[in-house]
Amino acid sequence: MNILKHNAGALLAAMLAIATFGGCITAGDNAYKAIASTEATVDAAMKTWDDYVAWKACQAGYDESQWRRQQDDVKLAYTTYRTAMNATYDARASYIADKNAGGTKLSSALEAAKAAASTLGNLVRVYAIK
Amino acid sequence: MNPVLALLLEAAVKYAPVLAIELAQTLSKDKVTDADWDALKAKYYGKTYEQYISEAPPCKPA
Repeated sequence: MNILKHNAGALLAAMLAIATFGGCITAGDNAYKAIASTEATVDAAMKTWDDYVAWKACQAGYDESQWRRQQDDVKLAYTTYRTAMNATYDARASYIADKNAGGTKLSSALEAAKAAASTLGNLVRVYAIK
Repeated sequence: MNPVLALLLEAAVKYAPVLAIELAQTLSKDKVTDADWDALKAKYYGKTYEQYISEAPPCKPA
């Protein structure tokens, strides 16, 4: 059982590790690959969380205030991620419009989004597996 | 089996293959076009937490 539990955690961790794909970030192909990989990984994590929320709603005897807090934590983490990732799309648009202006902004926005994705993934992993 | 673990394994089986395929397709792209960027942005930009959390189905009888 512990092995299975470990594997489930490892799988989520691996999914998140993939999201750290980086390389030299410009507004080109590498940026696209980094952003698309992170988005797909977060999407899978959120779908997993959705399944967990639906499952939890059918359980009895849990601490409701703690469960509410966990949902609020994940919601905040996702919202933080979404805001950061939206900023990368906006930074790319700025970069396309003015190549002198947006390069650094895109890179830092993407780093912030990846950090937020990692926080979100850890919360989903800890709350759902612990 | 621990029901939480069963749920997680089910989720892993359900989403990991889709994610793996999506990542493989993304990372193997030779050339990224504006259409790729537009599709990516259209899929995710502004997507809210509530859009992920579906209305819970009725609980199955124990």
